[in-house]
Amino acid sequence: MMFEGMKAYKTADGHVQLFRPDMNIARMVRTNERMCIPELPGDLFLAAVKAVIWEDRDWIPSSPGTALYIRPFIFGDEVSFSVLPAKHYRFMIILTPTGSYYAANDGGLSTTRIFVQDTYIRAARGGTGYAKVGGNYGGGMRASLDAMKYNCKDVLWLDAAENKYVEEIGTSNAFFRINDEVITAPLDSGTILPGITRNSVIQLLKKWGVKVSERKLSIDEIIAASKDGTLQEIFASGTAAVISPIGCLNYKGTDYKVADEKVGPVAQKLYDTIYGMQTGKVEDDMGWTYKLF
Amino acid sequence: MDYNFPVIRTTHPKPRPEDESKLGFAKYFTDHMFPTPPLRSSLPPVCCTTRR
Repeated sequence: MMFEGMKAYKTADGHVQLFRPDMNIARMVRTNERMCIPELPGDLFLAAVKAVIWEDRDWIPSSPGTALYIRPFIFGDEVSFSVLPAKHYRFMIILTPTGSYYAANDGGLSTTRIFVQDTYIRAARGGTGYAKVGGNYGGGMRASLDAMKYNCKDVLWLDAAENKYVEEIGTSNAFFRINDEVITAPLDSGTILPGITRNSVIQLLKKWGVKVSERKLSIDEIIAASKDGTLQEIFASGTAAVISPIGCLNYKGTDYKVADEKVGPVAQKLYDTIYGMQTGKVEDDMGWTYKLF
Repeated sequence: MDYNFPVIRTTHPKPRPEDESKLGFAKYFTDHMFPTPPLRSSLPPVCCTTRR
C-alpha cells in the first residue's frame, strides 16, 4: 500500500488551493516504481483530487491552523496470499478536516519533546525509506510507544548502519540550527522521505540568505552543541504539521533543552511564510500554490 | 486529458464539526471519497497460489 499526503486550503477570498501538488505526483511516481504499483497518470491524480474536494468543499475549514487533509492511496486488491506484485490495484482518496498537528491552544506553534531512538531503526540503505509506504510507519509504532513513556510526542530516528547520524523526526523531516547553520539529513542514502515541506524549507532558507546544509549530522554533534550553547533550534517539517519546533530532546535518559523550550525565530518565520502562502495571506513569489477553484 | 468522473452523492450527509478549534487530526471524515475501479498492473502475469 502506498499513500500520499497533501492539504487543501481555503483562502480569504474564498478560493481553494493546493500546495505544490506536482511534488506529490512526482513522489507518487517514485513510490509506485519502488513498490511495483502500476503508473497512475499525474493528470488523473490531480483531476481526482479536484473532483472529490469539489463534492466536499463545504467541509474545508477556514480557522487559523486548519486545512482539509487529503489522503490518496493505492493498494493491491486481488485475493491472494502470494508474496508477489498484485495484478489489480485500487486508487482511492479520502478527506479529513484537520486542525494544527501539534498546536498551542491558540492555534499557533508550540514546542514538543522528542525521544532519540537508538534501539529501533526506521529505514536502511536499499530499503523503502524514500518511498511513502505504510510499512515505513507501521515499523515505527513500537518506537512511538516507547517515546510516550518518556512523555515525548515522537522519535528522532538515527541511521541504521551506525546508529549515529540523525535522519527523521517521526513522520517529518528534521532540521537543526547550530551556530547559524541549518542542517538536515541528505537524501542520497535513500532512507529519508523527500518531504515537500522539507524542499520548501531549504529553498526559502537559501532565498533568505540563511546557511543551509544537507549533510550527515551525528547525535554526538547535537549533544555537544547543546552543551556548549550553539544549538539554537530544532524543528520538524511535514505536510501535517507544516513546521513543528522541538523544545527538548531526550537521549539515553537525559533531557537536552533547546532554546529554553521556546519557539525559535527561524521555525516561526518558516511557518508564517509557508502557511501564509498556503492560505493566501502571504504572497506566493515561489509559484508553489495551485488554485483548484 | 479531461476526466468526467461519475458522481454518486450520499443521501445521508453527516453533520460537519461545528467547532474548528477541536478538529484535531484525522478525527472526522467527509461525506465522499474517490474510488477507482481496479487498475490493471502493467506487469506480466504471475503465478498465484490463490486465484479469484
